[in-house]
Amino acid sequence: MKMFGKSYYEALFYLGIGFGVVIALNRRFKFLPDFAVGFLTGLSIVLMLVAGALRFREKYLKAAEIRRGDERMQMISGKAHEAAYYALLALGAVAILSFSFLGEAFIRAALGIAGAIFFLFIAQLIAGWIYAKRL
Amino acid sequence: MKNRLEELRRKKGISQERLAEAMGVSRQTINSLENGRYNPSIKLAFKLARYFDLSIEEIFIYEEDNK
Repeated sequence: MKMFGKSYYEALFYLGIGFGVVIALNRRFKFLPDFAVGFLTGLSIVLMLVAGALRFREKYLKAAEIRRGDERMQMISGKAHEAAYYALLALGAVAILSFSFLGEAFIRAALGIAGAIFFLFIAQLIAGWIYAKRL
Repeated sequence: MKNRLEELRRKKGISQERLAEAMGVSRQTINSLENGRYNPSIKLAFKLARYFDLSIEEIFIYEEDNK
């Protein structure tokens, strides 16, 4: 199933219907907590409306197909992700330093951000290692 | 890298839109190629060369950086 293709939106549409069925069953058997009912109802409506409408828009589907296969678009997307990644690292470093100076109450936040950055770094190393093997 | 893409496309009498459709890329990509802002992958270069029935070197002109 190609992402953002017709079958992709059809799958999302039927997923929305599936959530609708779960909500209907819940009215009879009461097995979901209230927050889950609210979340699933919203998600079901959005999926049925958006995916249901997009799967019939041939022009949009064709444009999405071209965007997916277009090497320049892929390069732009890759560069945008890279820039966002470095911006996130810089912002994280500034946040860690700032929180460290704000006292003990902020140490947990600083450690949390440092942990997230460390995780990103490890994920990048692993992804780099996998791609180095493949390419 | 320079290229003769615009000249060849005009000679063939086709629009950027039609060339893009034939290559499976967006019209903006063809526009970027023609303006020299973007260099194609070897795969796209081959596709373009086959489309115009020319060799890659006849479409794309490689210029070494003079530093």
